[in-house]
Amino acid sequence: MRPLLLLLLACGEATPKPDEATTPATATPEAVAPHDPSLGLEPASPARILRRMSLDLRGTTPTLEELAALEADPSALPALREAMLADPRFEERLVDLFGEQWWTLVDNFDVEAYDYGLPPSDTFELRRAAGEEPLRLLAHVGARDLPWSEIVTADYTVANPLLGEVWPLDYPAGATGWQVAPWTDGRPHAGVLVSNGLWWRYRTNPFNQNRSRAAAIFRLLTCTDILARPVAFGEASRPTSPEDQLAAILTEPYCVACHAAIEPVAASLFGFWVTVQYSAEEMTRYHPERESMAAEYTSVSNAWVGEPVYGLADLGLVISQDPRFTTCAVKTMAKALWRREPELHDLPTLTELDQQFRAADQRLSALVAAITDTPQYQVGRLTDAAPAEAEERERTVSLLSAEQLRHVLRDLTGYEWTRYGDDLLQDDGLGYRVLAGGLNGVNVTSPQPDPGLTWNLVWLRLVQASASYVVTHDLLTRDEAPRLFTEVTLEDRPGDAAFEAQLEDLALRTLSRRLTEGEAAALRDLWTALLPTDGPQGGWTAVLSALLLDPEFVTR
Amino acid sequence: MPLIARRNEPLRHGAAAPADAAVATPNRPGYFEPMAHFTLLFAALGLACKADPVDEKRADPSPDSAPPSEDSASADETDERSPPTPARTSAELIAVLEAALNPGAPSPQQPAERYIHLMGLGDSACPGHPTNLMDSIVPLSGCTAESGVVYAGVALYTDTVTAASRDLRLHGDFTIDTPEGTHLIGGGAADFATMQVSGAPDTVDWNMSLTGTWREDGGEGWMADGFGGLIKASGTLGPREAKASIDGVMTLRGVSIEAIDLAFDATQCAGHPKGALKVRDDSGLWATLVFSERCDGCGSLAWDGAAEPEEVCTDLVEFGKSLLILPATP
Repeated sequence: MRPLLLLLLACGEATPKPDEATTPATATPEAVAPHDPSLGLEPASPARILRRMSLDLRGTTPTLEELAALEADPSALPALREAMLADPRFEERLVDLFGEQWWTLVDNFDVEAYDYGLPPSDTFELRRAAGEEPLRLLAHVGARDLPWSEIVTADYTVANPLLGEVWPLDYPAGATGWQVAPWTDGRPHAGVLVSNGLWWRYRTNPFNQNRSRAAAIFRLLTCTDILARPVAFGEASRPTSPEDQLAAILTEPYCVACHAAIEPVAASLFGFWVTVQYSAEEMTRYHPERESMAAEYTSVSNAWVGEPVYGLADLGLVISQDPRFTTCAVKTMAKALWRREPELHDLPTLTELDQQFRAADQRLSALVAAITDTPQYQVGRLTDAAPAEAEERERTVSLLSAEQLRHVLRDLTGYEWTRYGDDLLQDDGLGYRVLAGGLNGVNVTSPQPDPGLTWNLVWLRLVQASASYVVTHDLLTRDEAPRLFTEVTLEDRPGDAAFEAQLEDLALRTLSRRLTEGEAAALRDLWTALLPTDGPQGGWTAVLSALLLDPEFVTR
Repeated sequence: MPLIARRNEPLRHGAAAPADAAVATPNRPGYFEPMAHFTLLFAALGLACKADPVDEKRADPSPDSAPPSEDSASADETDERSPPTPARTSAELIAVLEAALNPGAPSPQQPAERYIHLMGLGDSACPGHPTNLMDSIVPLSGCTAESGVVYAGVALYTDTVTAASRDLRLHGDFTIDTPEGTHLIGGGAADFATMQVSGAPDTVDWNMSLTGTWREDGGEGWMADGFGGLIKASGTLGPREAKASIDGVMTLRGVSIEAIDLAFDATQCAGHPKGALKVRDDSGLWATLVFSERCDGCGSLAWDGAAEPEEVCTDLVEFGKSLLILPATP
């Protein structure tokens, strides 16, 4: 632990670990949610749970008012959560969370800005917009409490002005930002199944013939990983010609195990078949005439696990009625919020969540609320009764994702790490997103679970830059209302009421708790140590840096 | 399958991992075995729970489909799954088909001729070649010639003409914009070839293929609406013989069609076709029309999922004519 703390700090001493006695109201488990003692999961304090929810659902730490409300009434957590679910930032967080599992934010597609005659300055924006488009549809449905089935039956997508300009969309005139936009090229009403962004990410080629896309549909919508099925290849057949291979796919037992499911779904996707892979026109529009090519290329009829379907719109409807559709939505959100893969041990919890989700007419906010009530989400530590496997399975502490780090830094300090206008924590061009623990959706497909050396360096630099930025903004430049340093001026010194109030505010805003006396003293000493050489602004930069570098801040 | 990078050992109970534990580990062996069981069990439990009203939902027409009609292609109200309700009646579909085809067959010559004409408006700097758009000369963002024509993309054009043959090819992914406001898009291949029939110098065998997307905003003929698809056609044209057949899929004048061995012969069937066509309705449903051997333009029309086909008649004579004389099309 100590080497990590020393490595994390920019300057000064480590922030001591919190004293449990001074932690705001640690409610009994029953005040939060009834927990099964045999699970061995003891919930975190209400304040810690509130912080976790705020970071997960909004990407920010709780406000001072929210912390005060919870301190006054430990049973206020559900009401505070409802407000978070209604916050516009919840939709943004859903984009992040789905991005972790849908893998479309790859920033690398076959069509570029110049293909549309757009200036080079639009390069990243187009890449990011294309990757976000399917996620925006998911987030739109989820945040607005529409039935989750709409993600595969919607007669629209969600687009921004740039996509509205280059894709066949009816983007609302005069609107800005991400808006509902129907397609104008006659593609079926099948929600994300007719998303350009999705099929730009999950490519195919003349020989693959949409099979990889079919596998993606199974993984994303039913949580069935076709590619992970064990296959024992037979000894007798080694087809080499395309004709023999096609025959083998449909007849050989070791092939049929997967292809019996894949082929009929792939047959539904020929409207996205392109003759020129890098042609903007071919890649941008839906090709309804090519739907009927499936019979010639695959020799199978459109179907979903044995049930005939009549095109993509029908496929979406049938998928939405597959029981695995809701169970997969539950598993996807559980994984996103538990920050780990659900396992067999979690089956009772997942089953109950699935029932609640269906009873709530597939409203995602209800599912999210239910998940945040689970012991797996609220866990703070393991009890002595915890089974041995719980140590391996449960995550009592999780590193903030790259997206959460970006959101929380921007919220607290206003700082955005950009280069030529591109947000470096979003752009994979230089790779900082991955270095900061994120994924690129291609060869890094899960968030970094634990800090490493490179992560430490990236976070160190971000903290230094953002702390300096907000101190300059709030205490030196003072052109606008202060963001973080609302209590103090450069003239205040340790012991002054304003100084002490600011220290407490910083702790509440970053760690969501009050400092212990020992911690406060250490921060005062740090501030005082910097004063002669760097002035009060240096002292505050160091104090804020220490808080932001603390493991308690970078975890949830 | 993407490589999944696992970094450090997981945090346990709030303790941070050592900073130097940056080790990539593979997925746990056998991980998906219990998951496979889990998924099946979970699905089984899901099935045991409240069932979705499959029949009710499938019987309802989509919000954007036409009201149910008396046509035999209307949705079946039985407990079995029903296909979508067509947006048009069979008669309306035939009318749409005729309107899409009769103005004329798409020809590779048209985009090729238009392309080479626009290339002639360039100069030595842009596009820097009389017939080809090459990325070694034309930048990715395109270039503007002195004439004001803007060229972008890549394209290869050849037109080999001999006394007895012609081989025209245009392959590319490009756009050409003119100051007059036209916007030519080519994404695919346009090929056309003729060969004089031995012993009949006034008769040619020909074949063509048109694949991809071809359109000219502000253009003329079928290119104004655009073409998308993959078609091939062949035939023979002479003073005593004119026959042609076409195969493939296309969206032409807004209608998506598949031609299946669709054949015309000027000396037979009074200009009516043989073979089959498939037509896509706005509901997404396809209907298949198989022409009878009676050579009267009539045949059986069957909607996907419909129980019984019905007899319909078409007039595609003008389309047939345009296909027969395709080698002579400018």
